[in-house]
Amino acid sequence: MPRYLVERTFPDGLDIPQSSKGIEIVGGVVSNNLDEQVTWVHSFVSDDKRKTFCIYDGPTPESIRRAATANGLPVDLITQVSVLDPYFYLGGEA
Amino acid sequence: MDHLLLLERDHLLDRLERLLQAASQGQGSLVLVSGEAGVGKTTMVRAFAGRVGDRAVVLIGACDPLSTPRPLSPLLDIAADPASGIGDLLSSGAANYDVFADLLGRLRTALRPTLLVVEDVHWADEATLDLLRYVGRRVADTHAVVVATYRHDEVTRTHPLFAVIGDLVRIRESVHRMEIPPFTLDAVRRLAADSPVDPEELFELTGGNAFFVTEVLAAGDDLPTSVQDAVLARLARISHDAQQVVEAVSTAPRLLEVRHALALVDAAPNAVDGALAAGVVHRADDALAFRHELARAAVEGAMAPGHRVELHRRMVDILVEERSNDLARLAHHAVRTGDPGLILGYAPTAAAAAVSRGAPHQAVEFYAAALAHASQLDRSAEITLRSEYQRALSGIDDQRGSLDQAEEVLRLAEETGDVEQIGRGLITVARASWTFGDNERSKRTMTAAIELLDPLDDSATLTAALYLDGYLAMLNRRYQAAIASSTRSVEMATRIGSDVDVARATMTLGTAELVMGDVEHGVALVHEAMAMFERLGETTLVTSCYSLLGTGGGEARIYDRAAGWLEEAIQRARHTDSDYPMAYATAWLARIRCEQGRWDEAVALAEAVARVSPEVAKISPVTALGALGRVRVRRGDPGADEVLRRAVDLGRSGSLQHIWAPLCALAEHYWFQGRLDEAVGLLEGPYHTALQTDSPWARGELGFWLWWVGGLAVPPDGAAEPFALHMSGDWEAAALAWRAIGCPYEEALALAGGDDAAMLAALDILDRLQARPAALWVRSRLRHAGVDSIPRGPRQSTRTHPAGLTARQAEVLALMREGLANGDIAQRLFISKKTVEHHVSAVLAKLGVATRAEAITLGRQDGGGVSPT
Repeated sequence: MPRYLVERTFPDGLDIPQSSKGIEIVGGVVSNNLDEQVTWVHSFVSDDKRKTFCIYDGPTPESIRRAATANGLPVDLITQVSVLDPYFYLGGEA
Repeated sequence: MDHLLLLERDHLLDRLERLLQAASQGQGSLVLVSGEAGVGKTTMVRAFAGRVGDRAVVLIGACDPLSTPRPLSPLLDIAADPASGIGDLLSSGAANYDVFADLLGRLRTALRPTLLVVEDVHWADEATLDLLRYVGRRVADTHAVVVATYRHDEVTRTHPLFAVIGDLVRIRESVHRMEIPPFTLDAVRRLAADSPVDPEELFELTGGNAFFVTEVLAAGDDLPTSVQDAVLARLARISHDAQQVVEAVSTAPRLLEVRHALALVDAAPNAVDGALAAGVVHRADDALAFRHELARAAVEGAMAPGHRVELHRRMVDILVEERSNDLARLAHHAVRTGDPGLILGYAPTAAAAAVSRGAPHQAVEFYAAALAHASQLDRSAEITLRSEYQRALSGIDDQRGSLDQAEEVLRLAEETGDVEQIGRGLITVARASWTFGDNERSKRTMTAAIELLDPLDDSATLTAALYLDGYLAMLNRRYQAAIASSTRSVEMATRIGSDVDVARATMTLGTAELVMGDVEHGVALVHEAMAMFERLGETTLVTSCYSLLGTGGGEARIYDRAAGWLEEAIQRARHTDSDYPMAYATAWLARIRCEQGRWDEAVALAEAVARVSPEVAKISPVTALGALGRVRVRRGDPGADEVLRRAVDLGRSGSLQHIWAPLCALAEHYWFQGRLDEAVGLLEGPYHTALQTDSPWARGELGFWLWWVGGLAVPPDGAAEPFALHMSGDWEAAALAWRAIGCPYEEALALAGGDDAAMLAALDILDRLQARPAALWVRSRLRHAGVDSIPRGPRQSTRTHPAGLTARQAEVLALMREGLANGDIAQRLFISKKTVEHHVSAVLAKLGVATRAEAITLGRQDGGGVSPT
């Protein structure tokens, strides 16, 4: 399945508390993603919490967008990506 | 030993048991049971049927192991059982789909659950595959478990069943696969417990294949080296008469009536008992059948050829004497006699019957068998037979073969010297070269046909030639030629009194007007043709009219009406499971939604086209991929290039109308990436093709994009108005024209060429569409123009619903309020019924209500506000 980097902007900042509320939010996202066969791998969040860079596995960019709509999440840009591992290049000398 | 044959099958039987229990609660399912030949599929399924007892109605049908099976063979078996209740309808000659619908209705409403078994579907004829697809798609809300067995090693990518399975297994909730593995060494040990045979050697030899193991154990002490040896060793122990009976049974497609067996070999009745004693054949009512197809093939293969031919010949005599109307069975035996007289006597009628039963592959085989002896036919009989063969080949999408046959028909016609015959030959070649993708040759041939026939009086042949000429000209978007030939065809059909030909040519006339001339006049003419088809009972052609109105209306960009016609075409096609027209109308709806900026819908529709079986003609995927690719380009999503290139490759051999949209989308993609030379190179050829047509939209859109990427200085004549206005520099009028038509993206492109205020308006539209690449471009134009207050980014369109519903849940609630049932909502949103149920319960929970009715009224009371934007 292709892997995508999904960039999102949250003008008021993203707030996912480490509480039962947070569990509920994240759980809802994961469950909605199932409908689209989309997997949220993990995200990087900017320090001001206004920008996120999320790694997703999914069948198509459209499935990523539909999952975002179902979750009420914004989408700025979707880029298909693959892994570049520096230690793969350095591996012979490690 | 029979119970031992169910070794290692317990978990499979338990799964079937659970599915049957679910079915009795109204949750039906289809189970695809696969395994290699002889692994024990039938044994297991029949054992389950036995266990079910009277807890369910058990209906069993099997496909014929014939190169040319009887159409709907399993359904005929099932209909013979009074419990099925479909016998009368089937024998009354009702259309296949009416019979399927009736059967489905019974599965839905029956008080007791039904276990419906269709065995050996790797041999199924097309009509049976249609049945499987029809029932498989709808089984979820029945009280039935439908079991279909097949040999997976025979179902390769090109096998007709492959596509059907691929289609059905996507329905995850109600379609299950079950693979039956060969026995393990452990099971073989238990089976061979009382035999002197060494189990490990036996396992080595048979690979655990249940049939082979059984045959070897039955054959005795010596370990035979093949299945055939094992079967023949068994046979060697019975009387000569009994052997003869077994051989006779092996020539029958599936089973042989006892009386026929005795008549064929002239044996005493006790020979049947001897045959049964060997255990190779068994008795089914008043007929004999092999326990397994592998055994039948072994016996048939071991027979002396002369003897085998003699048995087939005698069987033909017996069937003729009985006045049997089983045409496929007669042809089966006739073909195997190798006797040209018999083959030509029975194969062509069986072929024609197969065509009318919706089994074109079978028809093709019978025609080919008959035409192998064409030298025995007179010329006009050969022309007739080859023409029918050509149509059948085209029907199974063998367009190369179809063109070869068409050429042969023409050559034969030329030998007759009869002008009308030659004219018909030319028409055949023209049609075959068109479907083959040789547009030029098709045009040339039509011109020759009309020149040849024109000096003659009015005739059905010239009427048909003019109709086809007009139709091809319409597809090629040549206005004058389409109108002239279609008008002449209407006039001539009127004079010779052929209503259906009048209607057909009127339909073409209307479509030509719709896409190239007076839109409203065109719409009126197609409606006129539609009314004629209604009166004539030509329901398929009525659907064609809706499809032409919808696709032509889409091209002419009268979107709302076009969408309505397409939805009507989809409904009508769905009713009969006609995948081809359904896919094409759906693909066009995707194209329309894409052009309207309704991109989520466009994507869902394009994905729905991809879900229909892959064998449907190319124009549907070309159109659907074009819409999907254009959405990706305009959203800036990855994968646009790949999808659009595939669309262009698939559509290359067809006419321009299908590929100009994907070509323009690809050029736009290149433009965003700054690859201008490539964009120009891509569009130049198609643009010159467009100039040879009278299509304002082809000239307009290809001309516009070529101009946009810098490959065209002077705009073309005859371009559709909004494109022409934009190219002439009148951005304001162009934007208004696009707004009136309902194309927001094109409207924004026009506004982007205007003053600061217009550019800001363009940006607003593009942000709303989430058209990121074009929005970035307009932002940079605004910066260059020195505009200070450029909005930072798209306003977030996701809005929280008052009750905390997600956008999808709100959408589902809105559809519930329209009164739609879950199944309909699923269809509308292109998601599974189970997912809808999931959403519905979430909606009920969030609204804090217990029932659907409460949710609906509650929604109305608080004034709604639930439409997702």
